[in-house]
Amino acid sequence: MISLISILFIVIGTLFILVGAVGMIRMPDLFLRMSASTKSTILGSGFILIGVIIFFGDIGVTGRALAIFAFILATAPVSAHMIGRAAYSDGVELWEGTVVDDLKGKYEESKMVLSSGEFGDAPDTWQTGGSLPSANEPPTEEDTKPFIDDHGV
Amino acid sequence: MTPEDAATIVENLNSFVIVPLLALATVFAFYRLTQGPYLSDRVIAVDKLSGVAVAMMASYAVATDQMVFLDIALVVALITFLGTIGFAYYIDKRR
Amino acid sequence: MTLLAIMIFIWVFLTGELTWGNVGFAAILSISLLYLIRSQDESQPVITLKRDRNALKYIWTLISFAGFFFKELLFAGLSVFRLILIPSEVRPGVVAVPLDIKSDAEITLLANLITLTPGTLTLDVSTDKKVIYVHAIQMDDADSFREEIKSGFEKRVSELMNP
Repeated sequence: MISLISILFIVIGTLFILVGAVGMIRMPDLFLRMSASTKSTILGSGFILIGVIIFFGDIGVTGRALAIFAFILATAPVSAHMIGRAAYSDGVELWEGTVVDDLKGKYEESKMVLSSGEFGDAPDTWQTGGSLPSANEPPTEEDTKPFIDDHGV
Repeated sequence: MTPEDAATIVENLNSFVIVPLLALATVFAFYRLTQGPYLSDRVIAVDKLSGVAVAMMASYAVATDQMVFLDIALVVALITFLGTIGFAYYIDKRR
Repeated sequence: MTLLAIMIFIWVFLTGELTWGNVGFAAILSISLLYLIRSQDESQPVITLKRDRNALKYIWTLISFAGFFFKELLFAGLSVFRLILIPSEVRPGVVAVPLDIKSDAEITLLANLITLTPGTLTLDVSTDKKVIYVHAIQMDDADSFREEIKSGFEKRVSELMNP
């Protein structure tokens, strides 16, 4: 009887994971797909681990299952957050049905621009197209103004 | 119902319901892994695959009555996190 | 002292043997670990009995917080699954939510809780830590969503971290 209850929990968890995987196919943009997949993994493995705890009823197994769930709870939001941020600043487009986008244009231009130094071409090919200000001149207003990148959205 | 009946039901449910559904989820995740327009799509597909792997190990632990599978599931859940974080750093820095 | 009890509990839990020998071994191990990672201030004793007066009340706050969180997780998860099966009702958006909480630990906890709840996803925190950017899978209007986050999670987080 106990094993039947536990297998019921495992089937529910499996259905959660399956619906999340369906969402990975049907959702229109990356952030929606991430919402669908990551969270369903958390819920699904939670239910499956409850089933495992009920089935074994052993203190060691309970500890291990709770440890797995704690690790998933601790690591899943961190990885989702990092992937989401990296994807947004990488220029992944939001779906056109998006209602509001408060983050648009809030990132300044990345400072990760690597010049070729003395071996490269003339320096006016890689930065602003104009000539670089020499070190003695004070920077003009155009130089200090932050460049707003709209990431092609 | 005798315990043997319950064990048979558990084993049948595992082979004919749980594992096929999880395999279907794996197929969907692999579709996103091959088709995903961005690298980030592929990374979250791999993340999802590891979640399915953890779920499969847990369900096999119940079906075969072997609690050793749970230790492996613990390790897999930890290792994938490191892989995802590494990919996120790579996507962030490659521009 | 609370830390010692928690460590012994975890050891007994993970090894799965509830015997006197195992508990004693766990105690020895935990005390030596606490001795190793004690603070650099040598005058502080390894195990203190102070500051544990509110521990029970704090544990109750923790339990009610966990209950609230799992309830939220389950209901939001079900609504997200309804949306996955009917994708035409999806109306996503990225909303800036202003923050009242200040410390790094609180902001981290709030961001993790928002991400753990199905349907919402923390994208970034502004560099001056005043605004958190949240992607939500369905929002009818941005102001009520902000209000929901502020009165739900943020209030609970600041209750939890400032007992």
